[in-house]
Amino acid sequence: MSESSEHDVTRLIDRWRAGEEGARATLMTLVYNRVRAIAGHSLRQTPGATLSATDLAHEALIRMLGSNAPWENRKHFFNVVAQATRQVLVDAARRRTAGKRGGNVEHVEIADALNVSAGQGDGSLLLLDSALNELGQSHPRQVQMIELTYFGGLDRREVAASLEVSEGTVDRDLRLAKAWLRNVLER
Amino acid sequence: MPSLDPIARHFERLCELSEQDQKREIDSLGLAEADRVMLMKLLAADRREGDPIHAVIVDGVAGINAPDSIHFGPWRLVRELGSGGMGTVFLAERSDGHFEQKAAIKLLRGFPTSEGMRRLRQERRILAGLDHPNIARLLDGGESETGQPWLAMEYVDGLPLLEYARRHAPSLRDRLGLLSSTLDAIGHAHSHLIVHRDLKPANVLVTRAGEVKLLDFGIARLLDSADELAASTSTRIYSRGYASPEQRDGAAITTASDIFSIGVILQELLTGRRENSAAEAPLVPALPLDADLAGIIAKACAQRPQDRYANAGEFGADLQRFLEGRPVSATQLTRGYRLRKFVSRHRVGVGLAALAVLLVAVFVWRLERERDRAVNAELSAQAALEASDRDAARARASLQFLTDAISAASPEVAMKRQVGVRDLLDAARAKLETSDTNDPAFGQSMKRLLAHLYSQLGEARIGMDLMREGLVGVEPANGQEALRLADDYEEYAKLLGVMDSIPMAMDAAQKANAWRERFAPDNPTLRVESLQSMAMVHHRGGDDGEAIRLLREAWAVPAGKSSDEALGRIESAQLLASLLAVRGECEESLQYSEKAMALASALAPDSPDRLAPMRSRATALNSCGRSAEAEPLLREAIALQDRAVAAGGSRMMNLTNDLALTLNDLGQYQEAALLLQRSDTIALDAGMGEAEHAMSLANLAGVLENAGDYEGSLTALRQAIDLLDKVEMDADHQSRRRITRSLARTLGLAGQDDKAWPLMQELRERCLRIEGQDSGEYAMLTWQLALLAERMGNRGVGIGLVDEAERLWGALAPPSHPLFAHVLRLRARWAVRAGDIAAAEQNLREASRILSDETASPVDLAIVRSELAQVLWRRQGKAAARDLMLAALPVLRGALLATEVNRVRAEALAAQLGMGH
Repeated sequence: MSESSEHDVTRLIDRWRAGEEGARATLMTLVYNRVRAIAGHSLRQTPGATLSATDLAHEALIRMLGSNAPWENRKHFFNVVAQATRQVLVDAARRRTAGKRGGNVEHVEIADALNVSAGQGDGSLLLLDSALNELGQSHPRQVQMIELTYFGGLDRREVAASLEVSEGTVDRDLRLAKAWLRNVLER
Repeated sequence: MPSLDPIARHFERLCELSEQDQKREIDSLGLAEADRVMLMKLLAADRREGDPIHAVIVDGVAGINAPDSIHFGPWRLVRELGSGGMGTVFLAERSDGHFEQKAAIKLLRGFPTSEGMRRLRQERRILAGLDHPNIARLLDGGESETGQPWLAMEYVDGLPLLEYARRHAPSLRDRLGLLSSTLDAIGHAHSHLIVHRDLKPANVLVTRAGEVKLLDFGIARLLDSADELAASTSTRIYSRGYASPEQRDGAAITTASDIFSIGVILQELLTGRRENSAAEAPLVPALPLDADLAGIIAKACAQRPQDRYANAGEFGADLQRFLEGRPVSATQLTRGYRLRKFVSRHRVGVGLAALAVLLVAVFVWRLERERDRAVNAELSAQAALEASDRDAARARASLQFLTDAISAASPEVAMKRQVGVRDLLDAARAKLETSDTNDPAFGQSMKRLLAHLYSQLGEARIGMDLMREGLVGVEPANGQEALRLADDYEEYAKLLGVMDSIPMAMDAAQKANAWRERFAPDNPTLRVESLQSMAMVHHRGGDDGEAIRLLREAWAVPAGKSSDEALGRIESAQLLASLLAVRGECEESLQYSEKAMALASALAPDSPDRLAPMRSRATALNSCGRSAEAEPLLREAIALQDRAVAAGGSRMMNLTNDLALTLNDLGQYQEAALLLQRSDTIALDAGMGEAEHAMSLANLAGVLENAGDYEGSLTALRQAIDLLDKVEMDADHQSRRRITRSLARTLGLAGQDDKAWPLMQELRERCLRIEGQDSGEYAMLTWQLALLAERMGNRGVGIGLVDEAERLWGALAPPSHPLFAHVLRLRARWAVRAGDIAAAEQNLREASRILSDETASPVDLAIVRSELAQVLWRRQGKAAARDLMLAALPVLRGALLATEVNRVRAEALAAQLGMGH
C-alpha cells in the first residue's frame, strides 16, 4: 500500500468540495484503506486495550493532513473518516461472525475465546450498523451526527460546525438518535 | 420503519421532566398506540445510565485483531500467545489428531494490508532459509480462505530472556552462556545474509531446559534485497532502546546493527538496566559489572559500526576469553572501574595505604628552573632600585651581599654544598629579621627570594612562612613586576599545597595565572607552568581528574627549543605519569613516563633534573605490576640524588619511600621496613606537614605488619593517629579512614579482635555512606571483616561476609587476580573448622593455581603451600606435606619475621613434621 501524502488527500478533498463525484469515492477508498492499516497498527502498542474508534479517526487525520490543515478540509474530512471507521469496524465484525457460523459448538467456543472482546460485541455492532442504516433513510442528519460523535470523535461544537447547524440542534438530534438506537440495542 | 417526526417534538420537550411527569404528559397527548409505545420506550432508554453505543464500538475496535478463522492448514488455533509488530501469535495444535505437535502460528493483526502481507511472506521466506537449534524453526505456512497469510513456527515453551533471568537469577557464567547461544543464532543468520533488525530481550526466549530460541524475524532483511534501497516507512520501525545509532538515523543497516542490539541486551541481562535508563529499578537480579565485561559491552555498542565486533563469532570469542580469565580484546575501561587496575597490582595488605604517600610526594617534585628566573629577575630589580632616589649605598651593599650569596648558590654548585647554602640562607634570613625597616619593600622582596631558595632545599614550612611575609600587601606597579610576583605566587601555591592549605593554595595559583594571562598571554613556558601549578593544587585538593585534564592541556602546548620549554615538557610528562599511575591507568602512565625519560636523556648524566622522570617511571612500572623493574631504577635514582644533590631532604625521603613500597610489593618486607624507618627520620628533619608524616608512618606500619612486627606496627599507627588529632583531621577524611583501617586490621592480627571488630564495622558504615558500595574501599573493609570474623570463629556472620567480599571483588578485579586466592584460603579455613578437609584441600589447590602465575607474590604462594601442607598431612600423610613445606619454608623465612602469623603456623607444622632448621 502506498503512503498517501498530505498533498494528495488535500487535493482530493478540494476536488470533492468542488463537486467532483469521483473524488469522493477515491477519497473514501483511500481513507478506508488507511484506517484499516491504522486499526491494526495503533493497537500494536496496547493489545486488547480499549482504544476507541475516535482515537483511530484522530490518528488518521493527523497522519494524513498534518496538524495545521485548515478547518475547511478538516471538517469535510471528518465526515469521511467517521464513515470509513464505521465501515472498518462493521466489516470486521461481519467477517468474524461469518467465520463462526456453521461450525460445531467447540469451534464456536474456541473462536469466541480467541476474540479479544467479550464475544457479544460483534452481533451488537452489526445490529447497530443496520439500525443506523434504517435511521439514515429518514433521518440522515442524525446518523451523521452519531457517526461524527462516535466514530469521528468530534465534540458537539465541532459536530455543529461540520454540519452547519446550531449546537442546540446537535444536542436535540443526538439525544433522540441515541435513545432510538439504544432502544434497538437493548431490546 | 418508525417515523420519528411526530414524536420527536414531544420527546424533546418531555425528556427534561421527571418520570412521573412524563407519564402524565404522555397520557394527555392523545397519540396513536404505536407512537405512544415508541415514545415511552425512547424516554425510558434516555433515562438509563451509561452509553451502550460507545461500549459496542469499543468492543468492535478491540475485536479487530481477532483472526478470521481458527483453522490454518492442518493446524487449529488454541489460544493467543502474544502480539507485537504487525502480527499476533497463537498457540496451535494439529487438528488431524496425528501428532502431539504444537506450533506457534503467526497472523497479521487486524486486516491484511498489502504491506503486512508482504512482510509476513518475507518472514516466511527468511525463516525457510534458516536452520539452527537456537532459532525457532519454520514448520508450515500458507494463506487462509479469506486470503490471510500465516506461518507456523516451532512452538517454544519458554520465557523471554529478562523474565527468565528475573525468575531464575542465573549466575554470570550462565547468563553469558545464554548470550553466547544468541550470538550463535545471529551468526548463523548473518552467514545467510540476514539481518534481524529487531533484536530485543522479548525476542529471545529461554526454555525450561535453559535453551535459547530466537524469534521474530518479522522485520528482518535480506541484505541483498532490492527492498533495502527503497525508502519505505518499514525501515523506521524498531524497538527504541535496542536500536543502533544508524537505525535511529535511518542510515544503512548492516550486521553490525544486530551486534549493537546484542550488546545492549548483554548489559541489561547483567545489570538489569540499559545505559540510558539508569533511573529505573533493575529488571533482573543485577550482577556487578567487571571492567572487562564493561569493555566488551562498550565495544559491541560503539557508536560507529566499524568500531564494533566485526561479527557475532568475535563477540562470542571475547566472552569466552573473559570466562577463562584471559585478556579480552575490548580493553577500554569505563569510568568508575579504574580502581580495579590499581587493586590488581598491589598486595592486599598494604596496597591502599601506599596510595596516600604517592599522593603526597608527587607535589614536591618540581624542577629547578624557576629559581634561575626568580634570581635573575631580582637582580635586575635591584638594579632598577639603585637607579631610583633611595639610599644608593645601602642598596648597593645589599645587592652585593645577595649577589655573593646567590652566586655561591648557583645551580650546580649550590645543591652539592647544601649545608653551606643552608647556613647562608639562615644568615640572610636572620639579617633580614634584625635589619631596620625603613625600606620594607626591600625586605619583602628578599624574603620572597629566600622563600624560593628554601623551597628548593625542601624546607617547605620555612619557605611558606617567608613567602607569606614577603607577599603581604605587595601590589605590582607594572606588567613586569606582576610577572615576577606571579612566579612568587606560584611558588607560594606549591608550598601551601605541601602544607595542606588547599583553598589558599588555589587562590595563589589562580592569582599567578591571572597575571600571566594578562601580561604574557603568548608565553608558552608560563602558560605551561600555570597549568602545572594549578593541576598540582587540584591534585592536593583531591581532584585528580581536573589535575590530569590541566596537565594534558599543558602537554599539548606547543613547545619550542629552549631548555626551559624542554624542561617544562618533561615536567608535564612526569607529573602526568605519576598521577595516572596513582589512578591505576598504568599503560598510559608508562607511555608518559617513557616520553619524559626520552626528553630527559638530552640532559647531563648527573643532572638532578633527571630524577623526576626516573621517579615517575618507577611509579608507572609499579602501577603496572612491574615492581621488579622499578626496584633497580629507584636505587639508581637514590644514588643520583645522593651524588648530585643531597643525602637528605624531602626528595630523598620520597625516593626511599618509593623503594620501600616497591620492596614491599616484591615481598621483601624486612628491608622495606628498614628503609621506611630511615625515611621517617628524614621526614622529621625536613619538617613536612603532620598529615604527610602520618601517611608515612601508616606506610611503615603496613610494611611492619607484613613482616610480622605487629607491635611496631601498632606503635607507628598510634603515632600517626596522634598526628592526625593534632591537625584535627576529620574522621571522614579519606586518609584518616585508611589509617584507622590499618589500625583495626593490625589489632586483629595482634589478637585484639574485640577492639578491632567494632572499629572495622564503624569504618565500613562510614565508607558506605561516603564512597558507596561499589568502591574498592568498601570491598576492602568487607574483606577485612571477613578475615576478622574467621579469626573470631564467628561462622554465622563470617561465611556471609566471605560471599559478600567475593562478590564485591568480582566487580573490581578479574577472576585470575590473587585476591581470589586469598578468598579461597579463607574458605579453606572455614572448611577446616567445619571438618570438611576435602573442601579445604580443593580450595587451597585452586588458590595455589591462581598464585602460580608469575606476577603473583612468591610469599603468598609459599603461605598457601604451607596451608595446603597442613591439610595434606591429615589426608595423605607426612610425605606429601613435607614436599610442599620444602618449597615453602625458605621463602617464608626469608621474607617474614618469626612472629608473623603465617610463619608461626608454618614453623609449628615444620616442627611436627620433623623438619628442623
